[in-house]
Amino acid sequence: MTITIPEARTSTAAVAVRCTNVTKIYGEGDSAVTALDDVSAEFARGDFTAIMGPSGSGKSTLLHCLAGLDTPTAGRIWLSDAEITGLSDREVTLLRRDRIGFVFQAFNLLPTLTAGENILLPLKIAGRKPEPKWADQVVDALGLRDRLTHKPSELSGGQQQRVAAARALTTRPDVVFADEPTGALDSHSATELLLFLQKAVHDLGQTIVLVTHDPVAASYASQVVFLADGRIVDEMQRPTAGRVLDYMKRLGA
Amino acid sequence: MFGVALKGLVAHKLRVLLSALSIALGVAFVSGTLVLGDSVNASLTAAYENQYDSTDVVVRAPASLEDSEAIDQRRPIPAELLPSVLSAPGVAAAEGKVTGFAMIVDKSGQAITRNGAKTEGTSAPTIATLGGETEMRSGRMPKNSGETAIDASTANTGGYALGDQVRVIFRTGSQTFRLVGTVGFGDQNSFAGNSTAFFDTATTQRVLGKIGQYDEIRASADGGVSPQKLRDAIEQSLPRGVEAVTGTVAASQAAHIVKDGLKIVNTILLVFAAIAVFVGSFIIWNTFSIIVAQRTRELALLRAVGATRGQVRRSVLVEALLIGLGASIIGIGIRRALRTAWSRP
Repeated sequence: MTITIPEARTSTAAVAVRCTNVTKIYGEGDSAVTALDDVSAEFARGDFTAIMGPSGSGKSTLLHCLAGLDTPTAGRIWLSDAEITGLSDREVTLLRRDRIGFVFQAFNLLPTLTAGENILLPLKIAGRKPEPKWADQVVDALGLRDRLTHKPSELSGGQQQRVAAARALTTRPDVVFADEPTGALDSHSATELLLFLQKAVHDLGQTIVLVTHDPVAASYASQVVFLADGRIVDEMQRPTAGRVLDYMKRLGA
Repeated sequence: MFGVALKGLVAHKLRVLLSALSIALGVAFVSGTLVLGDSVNASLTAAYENQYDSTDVVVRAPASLEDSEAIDQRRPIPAELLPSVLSAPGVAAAEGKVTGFAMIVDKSGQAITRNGAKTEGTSAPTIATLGGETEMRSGRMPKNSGETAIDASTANTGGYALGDQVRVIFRTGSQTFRLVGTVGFGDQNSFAGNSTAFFDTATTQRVLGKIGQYDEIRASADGGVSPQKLRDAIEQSLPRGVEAVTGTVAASQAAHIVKDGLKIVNTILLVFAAIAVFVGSFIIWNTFSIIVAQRTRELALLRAVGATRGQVRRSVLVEALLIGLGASIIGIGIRRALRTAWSRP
């Protein structure tokens, strides 16, 4: 099927994702829960940002809102120069398809498709042809060349997450959102994946927003945003695992 | 997206098989019911229609009841009418026919009946063209009061061979005849499922209590005389209370009666089909919603990587369409297989 939308272009805006005064309240009346409370943030192009916080701090909610998977109760969100708050479901979907990549903690791949088909799925859905050079570059960088014809069930957890990362990058998105991508991996596979994400930022100029509660994972990012009770409480540049851990202890996580 | 739906189908053979099975069975039942109704309808209607195949005019008493024109519901007509029909201008041949209740008994003394079909005794046609589709399967038609010919199907059921003694029960009593022939009707071995015993005309009149009477006189026209002309000519010579109709009219009336009689059967079959569809749709709907529920995570992933609501909906619909189409074809195949197995004796 062909859907005519403007081809995704790598925008020249310096800010990849921006949100102002975003509030998200689940439920109503007495049972209302405020997951995000007046959050404003900017994620610069080419940055690798980790969002950290204790369980229930609202970090996943923030990611879902930024990615257009969930609608904030109040506030505005921009992806590059396009505002996604106020768009229709269809418009947000098309924006997501062309400008956002995802890596989740689990169930990133369609079990019925091979690794190669999974990587090209967003392009196939969009009815676009992959850029062969770019796709090859991503596949090789992730060491997936000899795994492309395998079904997800024939891959290790680490390999599955690398396939998911490759899928997130094939569309050359404005930003890749990763939600606890190492949560289900052993430390070796986790390190591999994080090194790759780091490489994608440094070598390929990608923008990555990583949600995690693991200080080691966060230390691969170039900056960390700390979230507690739905508010941004602090930021840290060039984090190390030790410093992040110390800070988290102070937050009472 | 279409490819994704297709791959999903191939990958989940068991899942597909189960929902396909319920669809296939439903389709088999419904189409079987409809086809059964239609084929019963067609074969019975054809039998009653074809009996007047080369008969141009039928002389008979008018129907005694307004909306029933069945032959049994008519009074007999006097046999003396035959000479005057024969002498009407344009008549090539004419013959009287008597029909009534006659039940053939098998060798152990049990009456041979087939689920509500009629058991009839009738006069053997001596003029082949006036006998409709009646044709000999073996032997010949009876020529004297001690002989009978019966339909090939009943002969088969009763285990009768030519030369056997066959006992037939009438309203007035029973009598034993020597079997001299078996009879078919076109490509059927029985007339609309009835059991039919043929006797010579005089014997038929006697055993059915219609001495000196016919139920109808069938006449054929000389070359160049239209049935309508012949009907008009014959009617001139008929007394009050006797009518002449063309063979076509008689045939369509006979077929109409059969259709009327089968209406209730068709309705019942349709009700069963409706119940089958109703129950089947619940099973199918249930199975399919389970399938979709199992796929929630897959569908969510598709939405996350940029599939629109429409695309996801279409992929589910494509899957349903493919399963439905494939299973329907299988269902029709099952129905055909069952029908073949059934119709084999």
